Amino acid sequence: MSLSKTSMLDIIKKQYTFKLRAYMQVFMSMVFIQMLGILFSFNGVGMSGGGSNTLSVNVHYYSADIVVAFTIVWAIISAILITTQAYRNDDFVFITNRMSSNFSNILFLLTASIIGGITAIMSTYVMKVLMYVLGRTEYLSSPIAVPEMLIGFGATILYVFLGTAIGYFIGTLVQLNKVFVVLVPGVFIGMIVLGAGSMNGGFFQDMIKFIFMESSFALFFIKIIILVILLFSSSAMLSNRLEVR
Amino acid sequence: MNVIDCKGLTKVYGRTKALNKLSFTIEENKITGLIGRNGAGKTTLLKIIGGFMRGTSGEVRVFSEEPFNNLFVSANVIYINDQMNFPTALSLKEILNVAATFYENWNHELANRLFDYFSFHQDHQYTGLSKGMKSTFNMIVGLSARCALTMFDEPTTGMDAAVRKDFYRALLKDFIAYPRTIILSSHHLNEIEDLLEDILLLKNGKEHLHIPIADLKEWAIGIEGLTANVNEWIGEREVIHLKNIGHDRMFAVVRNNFSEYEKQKAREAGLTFSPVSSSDICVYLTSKTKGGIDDVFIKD
Amino acid sequence: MVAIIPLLIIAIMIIAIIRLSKSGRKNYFFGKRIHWVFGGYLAILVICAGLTPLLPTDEKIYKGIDANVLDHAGTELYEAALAGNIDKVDSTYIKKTWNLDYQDQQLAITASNEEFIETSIIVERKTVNDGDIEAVYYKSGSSVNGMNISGLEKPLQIKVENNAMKIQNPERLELEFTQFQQAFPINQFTGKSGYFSHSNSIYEGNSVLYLKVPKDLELTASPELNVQFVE
Repeated sequence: MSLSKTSMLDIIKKQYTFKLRAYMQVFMSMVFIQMLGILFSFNGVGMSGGGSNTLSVNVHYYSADIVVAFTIVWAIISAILITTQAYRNDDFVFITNRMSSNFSNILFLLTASIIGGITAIMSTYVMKVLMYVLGRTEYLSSPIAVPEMLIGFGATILYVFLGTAIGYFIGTLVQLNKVFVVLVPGVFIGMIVLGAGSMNGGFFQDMIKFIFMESSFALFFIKIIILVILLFSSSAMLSNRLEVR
Repeated sequence: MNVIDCKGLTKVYGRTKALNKLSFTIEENKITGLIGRNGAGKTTLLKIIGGFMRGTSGEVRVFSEEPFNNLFVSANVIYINDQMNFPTALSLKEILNVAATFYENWNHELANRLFDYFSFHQDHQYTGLSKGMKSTFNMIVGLSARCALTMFDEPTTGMDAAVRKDFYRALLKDFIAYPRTIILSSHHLNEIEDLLEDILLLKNGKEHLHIPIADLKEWAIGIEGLTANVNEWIGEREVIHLKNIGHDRMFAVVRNNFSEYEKQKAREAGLTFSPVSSSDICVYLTSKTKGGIDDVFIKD
Repeated sequence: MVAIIPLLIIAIMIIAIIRLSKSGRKNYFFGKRIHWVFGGYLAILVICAGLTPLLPTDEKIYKGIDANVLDHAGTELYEAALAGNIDKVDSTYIKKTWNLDYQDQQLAITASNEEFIETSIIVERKTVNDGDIEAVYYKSGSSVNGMNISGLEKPLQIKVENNAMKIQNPERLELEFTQFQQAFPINQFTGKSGYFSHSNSIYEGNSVLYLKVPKDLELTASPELNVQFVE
C-alpha cells in the first residue's frame, strides 16, 4: 500500500476548483446585492438643479456608484462569512492544511472580486436599457473611452478585493476570540467619531484620503496590493493555530 | 513501519484530562477496534491523530510525522464520524466527484456501485438525508477513499441492522482487496468482533488493554458458585466483575490464568466456569465499580 | 446628498441580514438553480452592454458646444446691437419678430410684473414716422453641461396696450435631464468631479430686444429695465 504524495500547489488548485462550486452562495448573494443596488439607483444617485428665472434645469445623475458601493459591502461580508466555522470546516472534510486553506480562500476571493468588480461596472448598461424602456430618454451620453473602461474595471476590482481582505481579516480575528465581534465595530466607530472631532481628520479620515483620493492609478494599485498582502498574511498567520471540527 | 506512534499523549480540556499519558503503537494494515466508554477519550484521540487538534503534551507521530496542520498526513488519513461537514451547496454525486479529485487512491467505481446499491439519489443534498443514510454515505466516502489510514468513529449511528451488516461486509471485502490500516471505534463490539484483528481499550484517557482480539476472548473467565467457594478460589486474582445471586451464590469474572488442574479442582468444588464475551469483558473492564447496575437497586 | 447616508445604512443592514440568513446551512439555492440564476444575470449584463450603443436615437442629442464660444457670442451680440449692426448677427439668434402698429406719440416700456428682466432693450430710431414698431427678440446660444439648448428656448413676451409696452419674461423653460456618469473608481483617476457631488454648468446666452421705433416716438422706460439707444 503506497502512500500518496501531495504538493501544496496541487492541493491549492483542487481546493480552489472545489470552492468555486461549493461556495456558490457567495455569487448568489452578489447577484442579489447588485440587483438591489440597481433598484436603489433608480431615482438617480444624485441630482442637481439650477438656472435662472427663465431657465430651470434639473439633472438626474445615474451611475454605478451605488452598485459599486454595495458590491464592496458584499465583499466584506462574504469574506467574513468564509472565515466562519461552517465554511472553514468544508475544507477539512477532504485534504488540506491551514496554508492551503488560506491560499485557496484568497484565490477564491480574488475571483469573486474580479467578477464582482466587472459586473458592478456593467450595471450601468442595465440601467441605460432600463431607462430607455421606461421612457426616460433625454440623456447626455458621454462616450466612454476604452482605456477609461479598463481603468474602471481595474479600480473597482481592486476596491472590492480590498474589501475581501478587510473582511477576511476581521473574520479571522473573530474566530480567534469572540470579543472581536464587539471590539472591531467599536474601534471602527470610535475612530470615526474621534476623527470627526479633531481638526485634521485623524487616522480614519487619513486612510480614506489615502485610498479614495489617490489619482495615480499606478500608485493606487500599489497601495491596494500592499494593504491586501498585509491583511491576508496577517490573517493566515493568525489562523494557523486554530483547531477544527 | 508503525503507522501511529503515540507516547505519553495528554490532552486537557479546561479541567478535565481527556487523554492521560496515552502510549501505544499501531502497525500497518491491521484493523484495530478502539473501544471505551463514552468520554474515555476515543474521539479526542482520533481527532488528534487526524490532525484536527493538537495534544497538550506528549508526542504523536502518524506516518512518522506530526499530524496537526500537515498536508501529507491529511492526504493519507481520512476520519469519518457523524459530523462530516460536506459542503451544502454540492449534491451527493458532486461530493463524490470532488472526493475523487482529492484522494489519489479513490475508487470511483466502488463509490458509484455502493451509491446505487444503497439507493441514493444523485441530486439529493446531504443535509436532507436521515441519520442512518448520512452514516451510510459517510461510509461510502470512507471506503472509496482508500486512504492508508482510515478511521471510523461510531460509523454505524442510525443505521439499521441490515445496513450495519452490509457495512461490515463491505469493509472487510474492500480491506482484503486493498489492505490499509483501519481504526474502528464502535459501541457494538459484539458485531464487529469478527472484523477486528486487534483491540485498543481506553479507560480514563489511558490505554487499558491493547491486544489481539483472539486473546481478548480468552482474557477472562466467569465463575459461579457458592459465595464462600468462589471467594476462596479467586484468592488474590484480579477480579473484574462481581454479582451476587440470591443469598449465597455469586458470579465473578476474573482474569483467566487458571491452569487446567486448578479448573478441575474448582469444578469438583461445585464451581462452574463460563466464557465471557469480549463485549462483556470490555464493559466490565471499563466500568467504574466492580459491581453492576444492580447495585443501584440493592437496598441495604 | 446627506439623505443618502441613512439610506445607505439601512441598505447595509438589510443586506447583512439577508445575507446572513442565506449562509445558513439550509440551502435554497443549490444545484442547477444556482447556475441558472447566476448565468442568467451574466447574460443580462452582456446583453445590455451590447444593446446600449444600439439604443435608437429616440433621445434628443444636443450638439456639444463650448461655453467660451457662447460667451464670446453673447458679447458680440450685445455690442453689435448697440452699434446698430444687429442685422449682421447670426440669424439663428432671432427668436421672435413682432410688427406692431403704433400711432401714438408716447410709449412707456415697463415690465408687466415684478420680475427682473434681464434682456437688454436696445432702441433704434427709424428715419421716418411710419407708425410701425418693429421688435425682434434675439438670444445668443445657451448650453447646459456642454449641450446646446438654444433651440428650446422660448421668446420674450410683449403686450402693447394703453400706451405701454408690457414686457414679460419668456415662459420658463423646464429641462429635465438624465445624465449617466462613470462610477467613482473611474472618476478618481480621470479627474472628474468628486463623489456624490455633481455640479451643473449652465450658460445662458445674452438676450436683446431690438426695437425699431418711429423717429419721433417718445419713450419712457421704467428704471429697472435696461434700455439703451443705438448711437
